[in-house]
This record gives sequence, C-alpha cells and structure tokens, in this order.
Amino acid sequence: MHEASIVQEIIDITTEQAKQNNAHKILEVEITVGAGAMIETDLLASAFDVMKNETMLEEAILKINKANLKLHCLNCGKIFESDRMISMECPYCHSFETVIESGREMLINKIIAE
Amino acid sequence: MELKDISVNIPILSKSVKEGENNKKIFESKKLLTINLISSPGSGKTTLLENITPILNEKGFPSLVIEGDIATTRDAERINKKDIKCVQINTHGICHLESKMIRKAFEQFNVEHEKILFIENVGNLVCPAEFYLGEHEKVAILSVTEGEDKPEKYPLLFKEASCILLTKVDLLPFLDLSEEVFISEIRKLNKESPIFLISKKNKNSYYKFVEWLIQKYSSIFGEVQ
Ligand SMILES: [Zn+2]
Repeated sequence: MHEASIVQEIIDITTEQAKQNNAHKILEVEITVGAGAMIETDLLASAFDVMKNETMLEEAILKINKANLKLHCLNCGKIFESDRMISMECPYCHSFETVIESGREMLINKIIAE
Repeated sequence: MELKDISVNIPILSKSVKEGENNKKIFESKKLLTINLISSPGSGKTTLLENITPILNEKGFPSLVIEGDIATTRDAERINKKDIKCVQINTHGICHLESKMIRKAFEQFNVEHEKILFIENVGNLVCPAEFYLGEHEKVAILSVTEGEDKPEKYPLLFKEASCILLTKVDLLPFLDLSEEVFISEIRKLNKESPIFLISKKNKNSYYKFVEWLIQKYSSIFGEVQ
C-alpha cells in the first residue's frame, strides 16, 4: 500500500511549516482524507506511529477527518454520498453516469506546534 | 512554551504533483508522448510491450520503456531482448511508481529519435492511480482471466483511463465469458475511452492500439512526415 509514502509527505510538509513558524516540536497534525482517496486510514495511522520517530513529530498525534465521496448523477441530477469508493452507481436511478464532485482530497488542515 | 496553532491547508500530494508536472515538461521538450500503463500483476503488460514496440519501430515511432517492479529485473530483461531502450526501477516493495523515481530513471536514457515513453507501472490497480508521474495518458489493462467484476471493484482507474486494453481475449471461450460482458462492465464507468481487445495469438490485434498511440502523438506534437 502507499500509506507510507503519504506519511512521508505529511512529515516533510508539516516539518517545513513548523520551521517557518519558528516551532521546534509538533504536537498535533490534523488531516482530511476523502473516501475517494484510496487510503486505508488505519494503515495510515499505524505507519504514522512508526515513521514519526526521530522527527519533529515524535510526540505528535494524528487526527484524521474523513470526508464522504460526493457523486453527482448525470442521469437524474441527484447528488449522493458514499463513505467508500466501491460503487459509483446512482442509488436513485441506478445509472453509472456519475461524476465525482468531491471526496478525493488528502489535505493537511493544520498543526499544533511549540 | 507557547503553543502555536498553524493553519496549513496543503494537499498531501502537492509536491508529488509538482514533480510530475516538471517531468511532463521534460518529456515534452524531448517530444515524447508518455503513457502510464496500469494493471494488476500478470495482466500482460510486458507481453504487450514486447509486441507493440517492434510495430511502433516499423512505423517510425521508436519507444523508450521505464519498467517498474517491486523486486525483480525479469521484465526489463525481456524488453531488452527486443532492442528497445529500457530502464528498470526496482521499488523495493513500494506498490507504485513516484515522479521522483521516474525523473531519475529517465536521466539514464540517451534519448535520440524516440517518440514514445512507456511507463510500465507496478502491478496494482489502486495505488498507481493516485500518483501522477507526468504522463500524457493513463492506459488501464485488464486481462479476461481477472474476471468481469474488476472494473466495478476498482472504479477510479477505469473511470480515468483514456484507453482500456482487454488482454488475453483468446482465453474467453475457456472462461465461459463473452467480450460483451467485459465491455458493458467497463462502459458503466467509462462511456468514451476506446476499448481495444488484445490477444498475443493474433498479432493484428495490436494495430488499433498502435494507431491510437500515433494519433495521440500527432495531436500533441503534430503529424510526423
Ligand atoms: Zn441517478
């Protein structure tokens, strides 16, 4: 899985942000992961706990906000949400002609540092 | 010590996207159409490349291949036998290729008159779809032996692929499945991208994909005289 690569990016970006703000220790990282981002949040959390060692994030906790996948059906016009990226079938009219409105994001929202 | 609440709002993969865009600039400066091939392991990516690179050569479109593999160099050895310039990336267990790896591998090529760069991604349908490498097109490969429910299980790749190759179609009679089933499953997710049926038993089956590649090349870099 690619969770380790994602954690490495989180560590790099937050370390850079902390340094820019003259902080030397990160205590909390808050991120948002969309259901369409193909990320296993449990794996992400355990990779974070291993990889944070010997970095500025050694004592940091990772807060993960999950965002639903929001799909727009082009056939009936309805918008529907899903917490998993398994089916893109519209639950109202059963069309597969759907587009992703949101829910693919992987974003670092904020950090708390000292 | 004073606590600082720092608002970040940065996409986690933003650096990787930027590196992918840099790669694309490099590929375009060398006039290379770049294709990211994504599939499960054993879907026939290497067989595909072994068969289409000689045809592309004949048509005046020599290619370069970057071969991604979790552990071995076997595929690169197969490609090298075809006199195609090929660089292997061993990801040491990582399930996808990243733009940085592509950049490094690409530097090993002595690019002359090649026109197409194929990136054979690590066999995996989930992770490679999330990482932009600087390619012009994502091509999804599905072998009929994987079953017709694969697209539904991995919708993102099939939705985003600009071309879908259905391989090993010569095995359909043994699977009691028809090509129509696969096509309708793919069409549920992707109405527009072409679907080409491929069998290594029938060399002619490669030509439509080759034509598609050449047409993509011309639409980006103009007709080749
Ligand atoms: Zn609908």
